Amino acid sequence: MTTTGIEFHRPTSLEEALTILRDAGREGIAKAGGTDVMLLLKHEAVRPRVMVGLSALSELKGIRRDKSVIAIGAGTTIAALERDAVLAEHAQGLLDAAHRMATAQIRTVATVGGNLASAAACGDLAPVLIALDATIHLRSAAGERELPLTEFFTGPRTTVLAPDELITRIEFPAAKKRSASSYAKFGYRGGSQIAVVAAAAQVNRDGSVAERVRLVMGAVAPIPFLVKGASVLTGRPVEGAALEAACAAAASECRPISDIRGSEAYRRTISSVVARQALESAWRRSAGHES
Amino acid sequence: MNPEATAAQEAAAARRNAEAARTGDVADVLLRLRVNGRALSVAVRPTATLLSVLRDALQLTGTKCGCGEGDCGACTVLLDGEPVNSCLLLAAEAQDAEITTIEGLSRNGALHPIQQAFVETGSIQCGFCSPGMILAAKALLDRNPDPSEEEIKNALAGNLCRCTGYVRIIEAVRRVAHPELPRRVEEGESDDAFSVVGKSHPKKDAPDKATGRATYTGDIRLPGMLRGKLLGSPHPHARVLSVDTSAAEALPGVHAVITAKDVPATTYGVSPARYDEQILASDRVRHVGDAIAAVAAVDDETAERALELIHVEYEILPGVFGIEEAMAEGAPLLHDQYPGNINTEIHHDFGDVEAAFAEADLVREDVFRGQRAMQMPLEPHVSLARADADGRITIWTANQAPHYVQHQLSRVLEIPMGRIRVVKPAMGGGFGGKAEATRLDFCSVILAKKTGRPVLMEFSRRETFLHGRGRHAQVIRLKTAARKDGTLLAVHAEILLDGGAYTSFGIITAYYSGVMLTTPYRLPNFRFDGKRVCTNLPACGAMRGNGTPQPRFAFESQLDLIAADLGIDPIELRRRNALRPNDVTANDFKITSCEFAPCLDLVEARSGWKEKRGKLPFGKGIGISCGCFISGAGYPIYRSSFPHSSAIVRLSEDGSSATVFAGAPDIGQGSDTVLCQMAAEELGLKYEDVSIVSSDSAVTPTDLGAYASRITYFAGNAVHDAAANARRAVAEVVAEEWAVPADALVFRDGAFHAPDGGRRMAIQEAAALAFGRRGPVVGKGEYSPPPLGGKFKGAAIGTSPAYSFCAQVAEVEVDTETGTVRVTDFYDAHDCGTVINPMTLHGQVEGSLVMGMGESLWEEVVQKDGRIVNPNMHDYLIPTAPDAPRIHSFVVKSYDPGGPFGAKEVGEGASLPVMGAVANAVANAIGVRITELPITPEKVLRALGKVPPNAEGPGTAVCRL
Ligand SMILES: Cc1cc2nc3c(=O)[nH]c(=O)nc-3n(C[C@H](O)[C@H](O)[C@H](O)COP(=O)(O)OP(=O)(O)OC[C@H]3O[C@@H](n4cnc5c(N)ncnc54)[C@H](O)[C@@H]3O)c2cc1C
Ligand code: FES
Ligand code: FES
Repeated sequence: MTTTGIEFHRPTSLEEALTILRDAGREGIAKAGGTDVMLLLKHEAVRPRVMVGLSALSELKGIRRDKSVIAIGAGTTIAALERDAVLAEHAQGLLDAAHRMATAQIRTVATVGGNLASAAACGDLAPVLIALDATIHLRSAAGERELPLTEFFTGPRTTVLAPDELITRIEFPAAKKRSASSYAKFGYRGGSQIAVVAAAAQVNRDGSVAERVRLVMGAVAPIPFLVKGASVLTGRPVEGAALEAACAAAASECRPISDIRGSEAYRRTISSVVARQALESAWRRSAGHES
Repeated sequence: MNPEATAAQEAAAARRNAEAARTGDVADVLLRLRVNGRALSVAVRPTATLLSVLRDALQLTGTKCGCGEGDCGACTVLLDGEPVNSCLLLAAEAQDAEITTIEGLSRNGALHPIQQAFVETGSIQCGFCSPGMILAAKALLDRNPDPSEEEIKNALAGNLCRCTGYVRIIEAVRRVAHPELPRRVEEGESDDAFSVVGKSHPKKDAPDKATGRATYTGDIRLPGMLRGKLLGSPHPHARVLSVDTSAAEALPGVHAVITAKDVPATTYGVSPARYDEQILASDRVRHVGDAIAAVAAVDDETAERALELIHVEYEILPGVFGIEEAMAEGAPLLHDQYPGNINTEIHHDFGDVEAAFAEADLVREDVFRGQRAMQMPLEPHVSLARADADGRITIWTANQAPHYVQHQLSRVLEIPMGRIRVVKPAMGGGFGGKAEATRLDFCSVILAKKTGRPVLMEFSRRETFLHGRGRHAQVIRLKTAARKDGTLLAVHAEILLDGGAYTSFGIITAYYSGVMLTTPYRLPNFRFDGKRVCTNLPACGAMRGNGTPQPRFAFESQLDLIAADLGIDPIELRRRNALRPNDVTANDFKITSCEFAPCLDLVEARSGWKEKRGKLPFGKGIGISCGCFISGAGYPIYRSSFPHSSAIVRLSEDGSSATVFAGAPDIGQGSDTVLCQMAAEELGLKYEDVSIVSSDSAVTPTDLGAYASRITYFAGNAVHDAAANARRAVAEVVAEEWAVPADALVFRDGAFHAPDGGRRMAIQEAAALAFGRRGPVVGKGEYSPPPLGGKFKGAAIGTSPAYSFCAQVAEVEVDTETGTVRVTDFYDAHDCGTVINPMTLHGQVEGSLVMGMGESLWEEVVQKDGRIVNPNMHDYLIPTAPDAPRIHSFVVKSYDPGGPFGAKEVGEGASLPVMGAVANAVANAIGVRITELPITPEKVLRALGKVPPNAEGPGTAVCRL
């Protein structure tokens, strides 16, 4: 890694950060926790001239609940997610993902924005946030926009973000009573594992049946995707044949690649297993919320 | 350039120049940091990592670098109490926080309770992971003073340790939370036969390693020191047409650039019959990373920029990347001297194998495969060289066999050995990967001579993969014959090894892969056909167990198949064939002490084998596997008349203490500690009163090194001998003083007693008296094994003055939906002779088991067209703390007549059976056998028929995250 010649800025206001990024154009890059960007630099996947550190931007940090909406600043660290009481109540799936992500050291500095912007197919937060119906808020010196998270990713490691644009926050509706989310991650080894297959589920329960189910698969397609076939669960309990059908749909709808972590066929085979773990866990939790 | 300029000023100037050249103007910035409660300011590059600022600008070298990529946690520091990887953090971003490094933990010289617990529980072996691990534990305990075992494991999941298997570390953290817990009584803690030997003394170097004070090679900072780097080939096979270094030489801050024309043409290697490596490739590169040039510059960045400016013209040649490919008719050839790419060919035949096959009730033929794996010590290779104006050389090197470094430097650079001082500072593990002279050793010396400055050269983690020397991939075909009652009659082993581009330890590895199959079971007829093949991949070498663990996996797997065929319990089958004391194997290994059968009995009883085997539910399994290993090789690697080990023991002038001087390198395994214990025992001193200077050729006499599990036995005998001679020197003076014959004195409880029983003189008083009368009180000792082995070609390999034995049981849980295998328990019963230090012994066993578990389940170097796709700790998966199984390590009573105090080896022996034990347990759990390592979840699911049988296997792509 030669970082020689890279200008480093550490602005204290979002406005300033956006201006620097605008001026740098394609030669600029944002750095939040740096747990991804430092490796890109090291492997010379990027060669920026200007690097903008976001860690001093308090505007990007924090988790807020405003009535029925939960907003998470892009600069919020994974460790902060893990310790948040609001999320523990309203977005357990996000906590599942946070707990199982990387290592304690990485979680201290890695951010939500960095995780989404890096857009790795096996990134942990996107599947849950999609399951939670999240929208993503972007801002550049020219203005603001927001879009459903499903529309943010365009492929592995590519997104709609413009070079001078920053993610400011993500928002999603707080879990209602009788709804719950979960995240199941399958990887090798006990610590610091990367998802080989992941699934996130969000279940709204109506008595003994599910009123609405969102099942999102991660690491088994270029970008996380909503399993269409999971709709068989609508109006049914999340169990038995309907559950099996939803899991089978997860396996048939996925488009995994073969890489060193597993073949396409293997990933497809266990997709239904991991999907079931996520669905069952969300279903169980939704029962708990009823009380 | 102003010769007065300090390296630091020059570095800064060069950096600014280089920056200016690229961008116009990016000056150093002044950072204000709070480190360990002190406010500091430093001028650094704006994008300097916190790790580089701590280590280089602030010289806080307790923070280590094991990967530089966020994977190993060796660089962990606390930022406002939270753990972070300082390798990924910019120092500029740490300005508003309170930074705590390991140096800030102990106050007023007293160890922090976590450090204390790490020292006392034996949680520190090489210690390279320890500073980061201790800080991660601190962050956990500050937040959660009474964490559960699972919480501890998760909190430490980002701190890799290759030595300990984590179990003691987890225990240490629990002990901090619960100081009331009684000290663990170690299995094998000795009765009172000895007073220092047999006791679990904390390691000599543990407190320094716990506090970050221990100086590893990469921590040394000499005035004017330059940083060196190697330029490696990007192609797996190519002709080098031209090398242009002019632009690199012109870069400000660059002091020297060398290529093949600047270095001796003499080739080097490990085995004299196959010295086939060049210091820098002159006309041909044979694997990605094969080095062509080396640079010395004021700092790493400048050196790296210089490498980018070297222009090499290549003619790309076709390459071969697998055993079959390399052996194919008309395959591209790597070396003219190895026709057909066959680097080594072995044919051994003992007894009458064919007759045995004809007479047998059962003959089985099975094929097994083992993968290319890496040692992955936490510390990458590193060398630092200084050339004195009078031509003397000093090299500090992280090397397991400093003597061979000295030998090769002397041979190749034509400098007498006496003018080369080789020092091995504290070392962060080796496991066989650092057992030979490397390009870092040669190039740092040559660059130091050329520049007149000290030159430090370190491998990055990726470069350690390109340097290679890991485990050979093997294909093992075994044809084995047995009688109905289970008696083994014959084995014919055909083993192919993928050696990579050069020989390294490979001839020895190839021999070992076969010859050790005649242990630990009686085998009257044995045939072995082995071939080591060259491929365009980094050279393979001598990883822990050197060639033997994979054939053990194969044979132990096959034994279970035989047991099933014959309807005999697997442990019973092994017991019926166990080697006994004083057996001689078909290939002429003389067994001395052997308590192998008791190992089987013990592990059978302690694991609850009879209650479990055949009675566990589908998905749970229990498996057995065994091994035998040498306690040091019978012959040195090159012909030499030197003793294999030698030592000096000197008593201090006042008699209060003793110092051992021994060449034997402590690489983290704890040899310094056991050697001190042996000297203390012999001298009647307390453990605390004996210290050691090891592996500094200016002051310590030669020892061949830390390989072949030889130190406890060989260096132990030398130290024992030296201590006895020192005591004898003292005894002579006491005898003179009392006017009695020296051999009539009785030495007991640390004192000499007159034959009449009346007079008594403590060793301390006697040693002071001896110094006063005769000057320095020293004893010297040496050890070489007696001539061993048969007369056939290759008879030397596998010979040893003593063999260790062990039996292991693994218990696994297999998730039959995903294929995940989890090892829940390991039971190991070892015959290692007298246990010198139970705590460090079990530490070796635990580390071996967990390392072997990683190799059983995940570890594999994956390549595509000669390019390694996972040369990092992110995609080459070694076990983490949450993977740590329960480990039950036992020793059987045993005494080897030739060993110091009756001791034998343990360091490698325990690693031999692991893969077989795991494989056998998995087969027992799911009823299907996997014959190719590693036993990945995917292979398990395929074995269970849950993945479409003709679907393609895993690819070689990597999704970096
Ligand atoms: C050892 C290790 C283990 C890991 N394990 C996991 C894992 O288990 N699961 C997982 O999902 N990831 C993992 N990662 C990847 C990485 O840590 C995460 O993706 C992390 O969340 C990235 O966040 P960051 O703040 O560090 O991003 P950075 O590295 O700072 O940035 C990443 C990218 O996002 C951009 N960016 C950052 N913030 C913004 C913003 N606000 N607006 C626009 N663009 C922005 C940057 O320009 C850059 O392109 C691991 C990484 C390492 C080194
Ligand atoms: S050196 Fe930082 S994590 Fe390995
Ligand atoms: S002691 Fe942990 S890596 Fe050596």
